[in-house]
Amino acid sequence: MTDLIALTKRNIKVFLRDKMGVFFSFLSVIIMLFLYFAFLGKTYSASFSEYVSDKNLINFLSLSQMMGGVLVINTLSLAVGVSGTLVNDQNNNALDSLLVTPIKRYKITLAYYLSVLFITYVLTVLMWLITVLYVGFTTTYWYSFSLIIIIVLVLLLFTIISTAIMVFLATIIKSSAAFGALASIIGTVIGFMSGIYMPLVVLGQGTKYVASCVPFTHMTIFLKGLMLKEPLSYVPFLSGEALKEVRDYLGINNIGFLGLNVPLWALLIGCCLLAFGLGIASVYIMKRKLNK
Amino acid sequence: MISLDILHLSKRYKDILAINDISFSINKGDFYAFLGPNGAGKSTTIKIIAKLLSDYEGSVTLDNNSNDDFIRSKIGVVFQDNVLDGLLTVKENLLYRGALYIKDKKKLIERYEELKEYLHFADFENQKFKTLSGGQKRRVEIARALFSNPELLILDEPTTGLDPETRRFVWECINDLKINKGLTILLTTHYMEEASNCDVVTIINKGQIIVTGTPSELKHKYSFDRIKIVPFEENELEKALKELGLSFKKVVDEYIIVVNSTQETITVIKQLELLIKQFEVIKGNMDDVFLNVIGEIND
Repeated sequence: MTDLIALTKRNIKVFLRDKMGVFFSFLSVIIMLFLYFAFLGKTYSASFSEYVSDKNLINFLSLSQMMGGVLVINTLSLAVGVSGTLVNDQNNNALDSLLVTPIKRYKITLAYYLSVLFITYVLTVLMWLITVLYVGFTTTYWYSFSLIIIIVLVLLLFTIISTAIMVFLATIIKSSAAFGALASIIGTVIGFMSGIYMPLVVLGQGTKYVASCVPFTHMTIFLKGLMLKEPLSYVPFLSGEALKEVRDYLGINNIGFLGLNVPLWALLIGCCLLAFGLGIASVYIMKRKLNK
Repeated sequence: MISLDILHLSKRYKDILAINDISFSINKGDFYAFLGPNGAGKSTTIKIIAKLLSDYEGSVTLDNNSNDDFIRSKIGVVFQDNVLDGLLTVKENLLYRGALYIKDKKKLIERYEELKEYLHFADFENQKFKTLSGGQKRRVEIARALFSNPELLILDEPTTGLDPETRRFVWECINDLKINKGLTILLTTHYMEEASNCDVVTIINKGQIIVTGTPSELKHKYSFDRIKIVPFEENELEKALKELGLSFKKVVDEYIIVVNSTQETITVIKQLELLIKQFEVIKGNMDDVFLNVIGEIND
């Protein structure tokens, strides 16, 4: 256990000491926040003003809908950033220096998983708690304690899914440069594809089909749905067709899978199964790599 | 101390046979050098011994034990390139790596302190590894390899690219480990003069062992002494050399004559003494051995 903890700590420190690496891991989130404060926020606020006159409630709605996406992006862009340690270790022979020690092979793989999971989860939860405080102080609306806890738990599930996907990518990409490029853009690409930067309703049917194949789309729909439940309950006279229209615009209506009407809970179970499958595949690939 | 036995080792990378049925043994306390040109199979052999490759034929045993975990717990490896993390301090690097060998935290710290004193890195233990000089980095890399208190130390071209002072420090350290700690050492190097400090030298080429012996045995068989003479009169020396049937090579004002033994050197000097303005006897060295052995194979 000492060896596993030491190796996990080492992976965490190697990532956190690389200031540029950390910055690029947050790049997608920074882009998203910039877009929001530059113009997206105003666009959303203008749309909400059709239904709501309370400016604080409008901000509560806008921030909740944006941060749902930001938190999902955060789990994947941080996970890919930390996974870069694995790719670098393979390229600069640091992995060999671990393999000549008596540590069990599975512990080396597990330490990479744990470090990605730990950093991603801690920083994402931190971002969520900052969001709670920011929203509370700037809008005077506060999320309920039970929702805060539920989202902390949901973020753990999302971190596990993102970690499994990103570590899998790290095991199949050999070049540090290629992985670095992937780490810089993946958040932005997924941000567009999964309806995080703009609602899927404004994109074409084809894009919607592609988006429905990306786990992060369903994760975003679910998280936004949770985060907007309380803000929407404060909007008066919102029901029926109007509510559906608003939910569409906010990107919290389930889009199914490739046009099929699949419930969101089933899609989320699918995401978990995919993560489990990729996790197994990563362990298998790493095992082959470590036993050349 | 520990002995290493390699038996009928072969390793194939797809169509390339990197190692072709090699066998050798390293006795306890031996300082064993493994020489060969690039692509000869040195690194592959080292990787197999260090348990970095598992898909091979043949056997690797340490004290008759082929268990991977046993071997890993008994060896330390200094790689050609630095492998420690540039952004972590020396202390962090060594404690994290050391924890892979030593589970008890108190013992881990004790071992770290021992190595700090032995390799003199107290002054820069809290510095980030990437900020160290080349020599300091090597010192810390050796500390990493010694953390497990290994009985077999594998040095894969440990002095490549180092300045002369750092090379001297590394060699002092290696000699101390051999003499005072009794470590069994396996070295690969490109510097032939380094190999001449070893107890046994093996030259490998194209995946096969070509020769093995002590440096003096190999030098006796594959190298030649040379006499360099600067004469008073070039014409007279050339005439005398022809009369004695000695072949020579002229480089600027020096005549280089290859001789087979110390006795022959004395005889030649005596025969030519009146014609010699200056002379120098150059002993055969490991460069000659390497070039002659590899040259014979390539011819």
